[in-house]
Amino acid sequence: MKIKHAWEFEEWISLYTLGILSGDELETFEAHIGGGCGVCREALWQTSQALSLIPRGLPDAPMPGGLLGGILGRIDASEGNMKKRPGFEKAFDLYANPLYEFALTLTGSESRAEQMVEAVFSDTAFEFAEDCDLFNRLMGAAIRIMKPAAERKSPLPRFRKDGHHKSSPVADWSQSAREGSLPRRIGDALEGLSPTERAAVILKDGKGMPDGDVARALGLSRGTLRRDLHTARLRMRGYIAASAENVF
Amino acid sequence: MAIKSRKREINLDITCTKATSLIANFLTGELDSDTSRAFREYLDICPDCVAFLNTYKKTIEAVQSFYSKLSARTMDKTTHESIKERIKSKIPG
Repeated sequence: MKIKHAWEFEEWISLYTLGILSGDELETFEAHIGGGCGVCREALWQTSQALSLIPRGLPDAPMPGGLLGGILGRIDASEGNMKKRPGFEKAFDLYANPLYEFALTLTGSESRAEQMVEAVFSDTAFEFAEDCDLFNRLMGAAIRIMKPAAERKSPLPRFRKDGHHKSSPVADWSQSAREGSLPRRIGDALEGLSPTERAAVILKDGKGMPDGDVARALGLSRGTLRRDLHTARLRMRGYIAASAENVF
Repeated sequence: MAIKSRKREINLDITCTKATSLIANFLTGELDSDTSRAFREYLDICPDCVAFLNTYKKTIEAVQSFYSKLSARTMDKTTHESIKERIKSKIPG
């Protein structure tokens, strides 16, 4: 999200630079700057530069001890804060758990999910300032760093030349499947999908997200998403069907 | 063989291959009315495709159930904070 510039913040810039903004105003202003308002950042930089030149324009008289150092120290501190604090911390507190939940489903392992959260936030730690679609981007990053599944592709349905099912009759295990056994099979079946297919299934069928949101998160067109999703479901169904004799 | 000949009477264009490719759009109600009717008519005479459709739907339901079980889990507070601190320490200040 582009941080919306507001004129009242400009009034605070010189006060902030001089270190005399305090309380709620200070907190609000730092959040605004940390949120990435380009206009205020530029104005803050210019004000800082101008203030640093003031001593040169003064008559040749000793400055009160520590004044310039104090000003510059505050400027340094505020610039440091802009670089790292509010954007990252807020983003992490907001999105670490939803991302962990996603990563847990994606990887099937708590430790791998934690590693993924750390890796994703480390990779994107500088990008939090002006992003309206942050969670989608975090999920996209998670998928990109995920290693492809071991080459164990679940089977797609096969058809005869005349277009009919090759394995006939097709077993209908939809009613006989034991509820307890299916989730484990689903976990295994997910591992036979590519990272993108896996994410598509989790976000669409698991999380119930709309097609458009899933497509954006994965960087796919809606048509490609729907094709990949259908293929992924066919593979998963094929995996469960192949093991159905042992399970149901 | 009896099934095959009846399939021809109903709709020459639909086969199991075609029906399988239509399942996703059928389930979301996105087939046009003619195709949807042809799909349903085909299901009336093809038990293999009925079984396939049922198990396709069951797979989607199972994913929902699998996800809802896992999504209740979150990182514990200590892990959350320690990951955050590790990342912050990597960001040049």
